[in-house]
Amino acid sequence: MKWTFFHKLGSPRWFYDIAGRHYAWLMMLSVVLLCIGTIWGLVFAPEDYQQGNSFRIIYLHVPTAILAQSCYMMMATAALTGLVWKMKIADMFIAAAAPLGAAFTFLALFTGAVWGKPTWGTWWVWDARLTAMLVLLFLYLGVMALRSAIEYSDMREKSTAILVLVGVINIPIIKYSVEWWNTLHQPATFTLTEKPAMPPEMWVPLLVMVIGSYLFFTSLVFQGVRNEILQREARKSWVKKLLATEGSTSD
Amino acid sequence: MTDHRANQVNDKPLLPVLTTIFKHELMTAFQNRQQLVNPLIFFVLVLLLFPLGVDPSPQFLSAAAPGLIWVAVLLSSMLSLGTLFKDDLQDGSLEQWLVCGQPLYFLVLFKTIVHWLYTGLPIVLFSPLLALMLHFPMDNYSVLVLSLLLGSPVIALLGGIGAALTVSLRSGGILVSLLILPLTIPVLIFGTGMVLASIDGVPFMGQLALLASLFFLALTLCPLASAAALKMSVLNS
Amino acid sequence: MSTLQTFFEMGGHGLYIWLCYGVGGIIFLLLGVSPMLARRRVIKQVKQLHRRLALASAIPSDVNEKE
Repeated sequence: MKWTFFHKLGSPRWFYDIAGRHYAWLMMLSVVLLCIGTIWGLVFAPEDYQQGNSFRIIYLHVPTAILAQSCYMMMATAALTGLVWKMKIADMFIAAAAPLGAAFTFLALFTGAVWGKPTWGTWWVWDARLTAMLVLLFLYLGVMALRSAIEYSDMREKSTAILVLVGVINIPIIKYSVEWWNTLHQPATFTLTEKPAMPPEMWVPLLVMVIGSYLFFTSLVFQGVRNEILQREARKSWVKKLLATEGSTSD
Repeated sequence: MTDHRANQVNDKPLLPVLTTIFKHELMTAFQNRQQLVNPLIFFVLVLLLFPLGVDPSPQFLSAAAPGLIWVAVLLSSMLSLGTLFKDDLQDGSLEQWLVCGQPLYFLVLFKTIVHWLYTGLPIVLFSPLLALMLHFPMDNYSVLVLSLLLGSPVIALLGGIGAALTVSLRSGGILVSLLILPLTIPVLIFGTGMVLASIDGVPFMGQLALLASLFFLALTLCPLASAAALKMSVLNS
Repeated sequence: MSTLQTFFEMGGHGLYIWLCYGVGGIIFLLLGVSPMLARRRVIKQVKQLHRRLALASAIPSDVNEKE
C-alpha cells in the first residue's frame, strides 16, 4: 500500500497534475519569503563587526551555494532512481534541474567573487570553497553538454544518469582535494562565511532566504518537469485531450 | 572475421578472451603507428609552448615544471582517450564483448589498461626528458615518474567513462574533455602536490598514499560506469 | 534623504552589495519567468504536432503508413 505513492510518482500524468496544483503557491510563497529575507538582511540585520556591510552579501551567497550543492544531490538521487526503477520521470527532473543548478552555482560564484573584493582586496581568490564551486559549475555544464549532444532517447536518459552518478561520487573527492590544495598554497586567512557565532538577528533572515530559495527552486523544477512531460508525452491521448480543452480557455 | 573470433572465444574462461583482446589491441595499435606517436608529439608540443609563451628562464621553468608536465599529460591523455572505444563499436567488437559471456567489467578494465600501456606509458617514460628541458630538479625524477605512473592510469580510467558515454556520438572529441577534465582535478592536485613536496624536501608519503588510493578507487569503480555506458550504447545503437 | 543615501552607500560597500543583489535579482527573475515562456513554446509545438497528426490520420489508411 505504501508504495502506491512511489509508483504514482513514476507516472508522468499523475505528476503533471500534482505539480500543476502546487507550483503557483510555492512560487508566491517563495517570492514573499525572498522579499522579506532580502529587505530584512539589507536593512534591519546588524552590521558585521569585522566585515562591515559587505557581510550582507551572505544573504544571497549562502542560499545559492547551498542550493547549488543540494541541486546536484537531487539530480543524483533522480539518476539513481531512474537507473534502478527505470522511471521516465527521473530524467525529466534532471533535465529541469541541471540548468537551474548551473545558474545557482554561477550566482554563488559571482557573489563570492564580488564579496572577495572588499574582503580580500581582489575580485578572485583561489579560495577552497570558490574553487570547488567552480568545479561544480563545470560538472553542471558537462551534464548539459552531454544532454545536448544526444538526441532524445533512452540512451540520453541513461548516459545522463551515469554521468551524474560519476560526478556525485567525485564531488567529495574533489572537495577534499581542493581543500588540501588550498591549505598547501595559502595559509587560510579567513573564509567568507565562517562565523564564530551568528546572533539571531543575522541568521534568521538568512534562514528565511534559504527556505525561500528552496521553495523557488522546487516551484521551478515542478514547472520544468511539467514542460518536459508535455513535450515527451505529446502523442499520448491525455495530453491531446488536455490541450484541446485548455486551448479554448487560456493559451 | 569478427564472427569467427567470437566463435573462438565463446564459452571459454576469461583469460583467453583477454589475450584475444590484447592481441587485437596491439595489432591495431601497431598497424597505425602514427596514431601511436601522435599523443607523444602533442605532449612535447604543449610543453614547448610554455617557455615560448611564458618565460624561458630556468627559475620559472623549474618552479612550474611539475604542474606543466602534469597538465600536458592530462591534455594529451584526453586527446587519445576520446576515441578509446570508437573502433570497437564500429568493427563490432563491442557486441562480441557483450555476447561472449564474460563480465563486461573486466573486458573494459583490461582494454583501458592495454590502451594505457601504449599511450599513457610512453608519455610517462618520456617525461624525464621533458623534465630535463624544463630544468626540473634532477633528484626528483623518480618521484615525478612515480606520480605519473600512479596518476595517468587514473586519468585513463576516468577518460574511459567519457569515451564510453560518447562512443556512439559524432561529436566525441571535445565533449569527452569537457566531461572528464573536472573529474581529474584530484589526481592533478595530489600528483603535483607529491612532486612539489619532494622538491621542497618534505615527506610526500601522504600524497603518495592518497594518489594510490585514488588509483585503486578508479581501478574498481570506473570500469563499472564505463561498462554500463558501453552496454547501453551498444544496445541502443 | 541623507539616511537613504547612507543606506545605499552601505558604509562604502554599496557597489559590491548592489552589484550582487542586482545580478542576483536579474538571474532570479529570468529563472522565474523562463518556465512560463518555455511552457508557451512547448504548448505551441505540441499543438502543432497534434494538428499534423490529425491531418495525417485524415488521409486514407492505405496511403498513410504510420499508425
